[in-house]
Amino acid sequence: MHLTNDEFFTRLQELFAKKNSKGKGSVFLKQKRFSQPTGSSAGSLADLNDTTPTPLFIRASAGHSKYVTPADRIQFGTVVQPEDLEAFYTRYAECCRVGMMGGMKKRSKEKKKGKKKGKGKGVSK
Amino acid sequence: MPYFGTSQEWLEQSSLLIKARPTTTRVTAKWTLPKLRSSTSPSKRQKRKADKASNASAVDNTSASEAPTASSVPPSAELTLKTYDPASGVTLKYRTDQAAEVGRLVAVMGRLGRSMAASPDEEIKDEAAAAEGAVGEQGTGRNTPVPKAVSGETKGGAGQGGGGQGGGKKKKKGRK
Repeated sequence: MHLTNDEFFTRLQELFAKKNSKGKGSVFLKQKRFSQPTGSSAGSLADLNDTTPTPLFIRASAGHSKYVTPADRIQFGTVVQPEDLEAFYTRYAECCRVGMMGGMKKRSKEKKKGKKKGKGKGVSK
Repeated sequence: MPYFGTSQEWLEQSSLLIKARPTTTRVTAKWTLPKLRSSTSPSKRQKRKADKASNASAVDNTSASEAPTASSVPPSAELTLKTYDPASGVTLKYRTDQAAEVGRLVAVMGRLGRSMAASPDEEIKDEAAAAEGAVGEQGTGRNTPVPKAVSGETKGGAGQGGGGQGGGKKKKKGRK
């Protein structure tokens, strides 16, 4: 399912919120070049000479667990034009940072301090 | 497929792969939030262990069976990055559980995305940055970061052994 970039972000935020509230699950984010497959160049290295900017396809999916029926799988994607990449990725990074924060380890200051002390000793020797 | 130790290594190898096969290579980020095991509903394995323990001792000592469940630390969420090229079968992976790395890794995915989209500006920038980095390393021997991601890498990677590199460079400085 292809969405506009704005719709993609709202759906992605919803997906992260859903997984966070559930307390388990996985979210897959895939990116690849958006191009129509051509029979002649398939398998060859002809794409290396092609320097024209191509759009990117970003897909988010969830529900790959064996306990989820195929009908309940979530999958949506968007096409990002080359000129929009910069803006898209700034928003994407922010969206992922907020969404993935739940459950991940935060930096512990105590450990860092201990390491710095150790380093200092090594240098003085 | 083994995982890379640092995200910088993963980025370098992935960008090379994308340059070689821009149409077929894809980058996937997998964020996994593991199921929390609560003490009220222990897993089958834990149940079996608890049963065995109670049978063996033949004494109903509940505190002994509860101890391992209470001490288990809840598993943290993970972010796994994977670059895969189906044409050649190459897979490059990096895994982290640090929240501080997420933003930077998505930015790294953006850089890879730009080279995937064959955006001409990025290639020029990359070359310029690489040239600057090479000059900096040869000339002064200072820890001059090539792209923006490198400076974050040395800071963020301190917890995963990446700090060892920084330490080595610092030592060299002291000797001079």
